[in-house]
Amino acid sequence: MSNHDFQYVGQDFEVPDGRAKVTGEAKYADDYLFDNALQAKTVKSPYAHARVRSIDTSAAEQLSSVKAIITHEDVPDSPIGQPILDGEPKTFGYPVAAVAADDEYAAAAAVEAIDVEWEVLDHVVDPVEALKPGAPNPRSNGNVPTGEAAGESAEGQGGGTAAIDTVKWTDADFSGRYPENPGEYTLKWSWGDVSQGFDRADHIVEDVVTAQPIPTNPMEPRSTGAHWQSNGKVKAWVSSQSMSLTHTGLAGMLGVSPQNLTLINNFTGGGFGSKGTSYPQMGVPAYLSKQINRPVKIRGTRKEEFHWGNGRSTLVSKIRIGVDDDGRITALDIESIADSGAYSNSAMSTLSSAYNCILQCYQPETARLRGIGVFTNTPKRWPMRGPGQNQAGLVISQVADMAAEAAGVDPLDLKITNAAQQETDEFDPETAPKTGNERAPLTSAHLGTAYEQAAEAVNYDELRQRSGTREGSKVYGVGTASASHQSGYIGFDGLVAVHTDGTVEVRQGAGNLGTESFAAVARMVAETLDVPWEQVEVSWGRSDKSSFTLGQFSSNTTFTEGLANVKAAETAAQYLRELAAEELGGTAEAYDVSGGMVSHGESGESLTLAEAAQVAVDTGGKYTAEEIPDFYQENLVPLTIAAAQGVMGNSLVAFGKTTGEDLGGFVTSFAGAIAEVSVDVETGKVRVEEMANWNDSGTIVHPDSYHAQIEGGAIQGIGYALSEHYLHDEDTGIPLNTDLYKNKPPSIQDYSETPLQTGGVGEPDPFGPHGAKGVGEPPYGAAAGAVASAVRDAIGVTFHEFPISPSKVLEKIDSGEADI
Amino acid sequence: MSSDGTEADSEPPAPEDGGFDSPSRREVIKGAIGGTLIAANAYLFQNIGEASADTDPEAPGVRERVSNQLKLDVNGRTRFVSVEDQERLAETLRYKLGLTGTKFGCDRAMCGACTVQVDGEPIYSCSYFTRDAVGQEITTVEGLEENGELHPLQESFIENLGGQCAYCTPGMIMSGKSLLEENSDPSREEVKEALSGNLCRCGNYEREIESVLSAAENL
Repeated sequence: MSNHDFQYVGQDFEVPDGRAKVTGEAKYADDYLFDNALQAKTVKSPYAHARVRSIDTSAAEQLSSVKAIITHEDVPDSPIGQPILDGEPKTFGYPVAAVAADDEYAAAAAVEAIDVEWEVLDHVVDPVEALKPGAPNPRSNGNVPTGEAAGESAEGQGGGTAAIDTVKWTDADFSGRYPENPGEYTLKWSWGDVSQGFDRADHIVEDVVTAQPIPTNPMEPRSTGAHWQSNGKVKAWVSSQSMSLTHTGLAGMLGVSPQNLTLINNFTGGGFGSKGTSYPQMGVPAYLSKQINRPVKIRGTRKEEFHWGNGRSTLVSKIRIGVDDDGRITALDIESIADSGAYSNSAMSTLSSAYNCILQCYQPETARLRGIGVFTNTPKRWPMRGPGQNQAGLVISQVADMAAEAAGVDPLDLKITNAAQQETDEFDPETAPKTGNERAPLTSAHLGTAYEQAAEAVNYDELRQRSGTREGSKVYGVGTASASHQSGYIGFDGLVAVHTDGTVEVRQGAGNLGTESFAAVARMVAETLDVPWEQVEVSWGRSDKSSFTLGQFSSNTTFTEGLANVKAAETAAQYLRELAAEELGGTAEAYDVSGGMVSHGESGESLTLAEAAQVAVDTGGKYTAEEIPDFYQENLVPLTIAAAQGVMGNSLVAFGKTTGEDLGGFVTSFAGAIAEVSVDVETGKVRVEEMANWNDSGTIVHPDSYHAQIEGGAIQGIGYALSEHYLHDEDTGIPLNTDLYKNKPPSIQDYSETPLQTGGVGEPDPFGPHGAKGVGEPPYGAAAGAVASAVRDAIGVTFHEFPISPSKVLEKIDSGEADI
Repeated sequence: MSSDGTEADSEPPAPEDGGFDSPSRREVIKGAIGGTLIAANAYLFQNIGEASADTDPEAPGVRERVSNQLKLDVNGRTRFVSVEDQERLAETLRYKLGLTGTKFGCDRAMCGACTVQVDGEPIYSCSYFTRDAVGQEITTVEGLEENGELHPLQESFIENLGGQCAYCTPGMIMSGKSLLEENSDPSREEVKEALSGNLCRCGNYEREIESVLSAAENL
């Protein structure tokens, strides 16, 4: 654990939104009720790929309850991303028109009254199929996104550059699980000489594993309220993980300046990546409202989540690993096909994220990584909790076990041997574990320790002993896996105000997606300013009080938003010292800010924060943001300065800005998981008997939410391995399992027979605020991979496709492949 | 949380429904339109309904007999509300009575976000006709606080971080309440059984179990 002596960081506390969550006071988008609101519904495509020839809205217009109708011609087009309404819908259920009527019944009736004449186009739902010569293109202008992979910082933003091309693998043989003699790849990474790496290897294993696509399925479907006022100002009540990027993204979608758009988003009923920024369900009611200047609401439905929501991308990977006799990976060669769905070019980012995860977790001596992303006529496939990384955690775990078997070493030993584990206490860019094609140094890496602590928690040796034993119809197995995620960025803003009543207000910009990371940001400010927690208030939930930050995805809030606001708090502390020196005499350096006081180190003379804030107000200038220092004027996003309205001039106001000087490497969080499963060889049912899931996420800021994040990630990962999937009918492209009981997110009975064991290494990251890194995503991929690894261990057969449903298990048993 | 002066009105006019994705429901929808239009203004009479409740809470009043209004017992209060034949309790609670703690997660009795108690039994209010609740005690998450004191379950859900995104939390609490009223000392397995009709996509189950177990200790 850290050597720091923290007061607030590392302690549990009552979260600021806890009471509202248990009383029903917490307002989610559809909970805002208006006297004169209209309800929106959409006209959806009944085809997986079609073009609108004409839309006849005349009958709907005759209905007295109908107040506004828009079609795809009334909204901006989107070159690759999801348009608000699409004249060439590329998935089943994508909307082409929308109505606003007095209530949902009337809106539904109006939708029925609208006639669309369709030109049905060819479709494809299987990403491998899309590469076959002669196969239809999922988009009329191509089948493959090209251009730069945007990478992890762009989750929810789509790709780096938008471009589309047609690539067919004309000479490939598609008869096997992965095409032989594949054609062009659009992403190519390599370093070292991989063929020499394989030459050095004592053993080489190879297999093809496909991680399946799944819908994100947050509990709160996508609902929005929007009021486009006649003065051109827009107010929107939305369901988003994020504040800043959703605010600017929606402003762009609506063609208004961010200053003319106010976003209200106090609570969000889950997003898991899929509500990272603005999305079309926000645009529909807004454009309807623009016509009539009345509030318009759209209430998202569960079924819509399956075709108008988004989810996890397919990742088909052919993985070849060379190891020496000690289990050290000398060469890693992976080819992959990833799926963007129809409406993003993010398959490129899926690939880069997947490869970063594998490189971070397995640190191969040489590597060659190639991949191609394709479109399919299925929902947008990006992002979802560890998009790419968690597929990677799943696809590689069994192949790594094969390598361990070949080398005659324990699978856990192989995974620890190759894991990212820094050798020095201090950050050393030379020796630090690396990632990516650029071989960037990881700022901190303790995956080996995480594995070791997880192994101790579950008594790995005992589980290994039980592996393969049978009790009745149950066979036991133990598995191991890891995943990682880039979890910290710089270039964002913080804003802290000290009011004249002594309250410290953190006007942070993180959304409230349920992780309590926004509260952790305030907690870190309290630590930096050493101010009693009772005096700290954190504001959230509306754009006009939010300093600008990255979206609440990529497990980055704790680092990104935390660091920006810790820097603001440091500025505030400096201002407080200067003001005390001004008021009481002496130099600023002679004063300490602690315990809610600004005190002279020798004389003991002091000001309370309230008194010091009053001095700030009396002094004005930079202390109250009436003058904004050049550095901030040049570097802050204008929205951050706007967010200081209301405190400017009447409180001490301090900004923070993170820059390149604040970061010297690639911030990465890790998880290592160990699972024991039982496989019922008569029913095919897999049960997770026990799991330990350990994070390397730097300093633990808020233990309760830290463990909750790991538990939740682990449970979702178990669902990914065992029960969830998107199913699209190949002939029609229609989603087949658009109900929760068919799609099977884990229930309380489904995840583990014994309580999950979670923990953290706790070693501070040298660049993180108080040493913290992000938490939420790696436990998912580690859990999924560990379950797959454990099932393989139990019945001795590799699963190439997921989820590992009872029928898949029984197929392996009936075919004689399983070793039981 | 930031307050917002223009955000909400408590008594919306329009009944709402959803999940009209399935063509098989089209006829149902069309059939519903006429009734909806009649009902759209009926909320104007709600104050009158409540006033009559003050004087004679038990007897069916003139308002009920002539205006399609039902008398409901919600969180210990008598509420008069105009209701469609096909209207589901979650719609009435949310959009007619402003009790938005009860959530729609699926519209199809799959997720449990809409769980409320009817005469002490947990039910999925998204799939329960409001008319069937007449004469019974309806309890929602908003009805648990007594004299400013939170219910022990609410306290323990705060204490144990029982909600992440917390969209499922009101339903979880209502299922937990129903359990504890029958069994004040449940085992972990009994708690899991009682909450098994409530999905939590955040996967916060360990904390939901712990919240119910620790509430049982504090009852």
